[in-house]
Amino acid sequence: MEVCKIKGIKNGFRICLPEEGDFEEIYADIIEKVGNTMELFKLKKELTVEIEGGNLTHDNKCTLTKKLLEMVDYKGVISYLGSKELEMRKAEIKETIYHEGTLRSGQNITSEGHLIVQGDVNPGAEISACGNIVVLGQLKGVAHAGCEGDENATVCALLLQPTQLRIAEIITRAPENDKKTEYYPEIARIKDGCIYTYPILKK
Amino acid sequence: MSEVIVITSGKGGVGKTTTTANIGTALAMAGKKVVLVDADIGLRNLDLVMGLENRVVYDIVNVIEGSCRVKQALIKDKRHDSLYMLPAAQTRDKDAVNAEQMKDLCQKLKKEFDYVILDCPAGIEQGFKNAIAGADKAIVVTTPEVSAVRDADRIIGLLEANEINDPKLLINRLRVNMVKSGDMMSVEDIVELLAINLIGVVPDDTSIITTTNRGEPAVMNEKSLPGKAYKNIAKRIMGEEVPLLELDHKSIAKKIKAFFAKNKEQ
Repeated sequence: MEVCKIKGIKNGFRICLPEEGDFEEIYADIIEKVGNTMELFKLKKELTVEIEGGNLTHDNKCTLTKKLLEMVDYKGVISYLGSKELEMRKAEIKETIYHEGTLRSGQNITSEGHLIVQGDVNPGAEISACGNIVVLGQLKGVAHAGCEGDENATVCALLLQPTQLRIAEIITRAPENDKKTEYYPEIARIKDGCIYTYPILKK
Repeated sequence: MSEVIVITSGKGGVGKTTTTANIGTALAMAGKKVVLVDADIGLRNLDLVMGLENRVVYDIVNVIEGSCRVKQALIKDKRHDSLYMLPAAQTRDKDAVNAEQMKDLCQKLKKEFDYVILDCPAGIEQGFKNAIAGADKAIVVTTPEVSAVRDADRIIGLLEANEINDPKLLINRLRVNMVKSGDMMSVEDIVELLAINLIGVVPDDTSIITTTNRGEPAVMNEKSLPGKAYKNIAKRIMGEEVPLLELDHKSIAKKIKAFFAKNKEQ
C-alpha cells in the first residue's frame, strides 16, 4: 500500500503524507523511501526537505525531524507545509505567457508560469518556464521546463527536435546521428530520472 | 609556459572561427592542453564549428557574472581529451563583459591550460577590445582581398597600440591559380604591405565548407590540404620551424617529367 510519496523539487525533495494513518507505519515508510532516495542527493551541499500534509503531533514532528536530519548528514533544511502554506503556494502559480511568432537565435523567453509559443523556436533561441512548455511549431532551440525544479513539467511541440532539452535539473540532448525520418508531435517528460519523449497522437 | 593567443581579423567572414577550431584541434592532437574561448558574444559560432552545440549549458557570461564555476562551463571536446571550449552567450551582447573581466578570466584559464585561444568577433568595438584584453599574442587572419588586407592593417595598428607586439599573419583562402594569372594578391604582396611575420598560408578548398558544416575540424582529415596547413601553423605556434606548404598543384605527369628532368641534369 502506498503510504507516502516523495517528489523531487529544486535542491531536494518533498514528502507528501497521507491525511490519516498510523504514525509508526508512516514513519517506517518515510525512512525507507528517503533511504532509497538519498543516493541521488549525495553530492548536494545543501538540501531542502519539505513535508506536506499529514496530521502529525508536535512529538511526531520532532522525532521525524531528528531522524531526517541524521539521514541527510545535517546539511538540509526541513520544513513542514501546513494547509495555509499550501494554499499560498498554489496562489503563487504565475500567469501563462503566450507568445506569437518565431523565436530566432539569441532570443529568449522566460515564464514564471506555463509558456505557449505559437511559432518556431530556432536553434540558438532559449525558452524556459517554471511550468510546462507548449510549442505550436518546431522546437529546435533549447527548452527548459520546470526551471524551478518541478519534475512533473513537460515540453511538447509539433516537431520536438531541440538542441538541448531540460526538465527541472535534468539535461539531455538528442543522440548523435539520430536522423528522424518521420515527423509527429511529441511530448517530453521525466520518468525514472530520465527525460523520455512520447508521441502525442496515438496512431 | 602557457600562452593566450587571440585570433582576429577586423573584417568578418575571413575564417577566424574556422582557424580557431583548426589550430586548437591541431594543438590538442599534438598533446597540448588547449581551451578555445568564443569571445563573439551574441553571435556564437565556435560551438557549431566544433560540433558541440548541443552540449552548451553555461557560457562565458555565466562564468564572468559568477553564476557558475569555470569548470562547469568548459565543454570537453568529443574527440580529444585535452581540448576544451568555453562557449559565448547567445542571448546577450558584447557589453555583458568588460575588458578587465576578460583579463581575469584569461589569467585563470592560463593556469590550467598550455594554450588559451580566443576567437575574436569581427569589428573593432567592445567585443574586439574584450578579446584582446587578456591576450599575449595575436594571429591576424586575412584573405587575399584588398578589403580584408586593409582591415588587417587597421587591426595590426590597434594591436600594437594595445601593446600586443609582433602579431603573426595568417593568409587564408589563397588560390594559387588566380595568383599565377595575376588576378589575386600573392603572399609576397600581402606580407610586403602589412610588414609582419607570416605564420602560415591556408589554401582555398571547398572541403573546408563540408567539414565546418559537419562540425569536424579539417585537421582531423589526413588528406585535407587546409588541414595540413593548419597543422603546420600549430607546429609553428609550438616553436618548430616548418617550411611553408607546397601549394602549387602540379599534375602527376608534370611531376614525373620534372623528376626525370632533374635526373638528367645530374
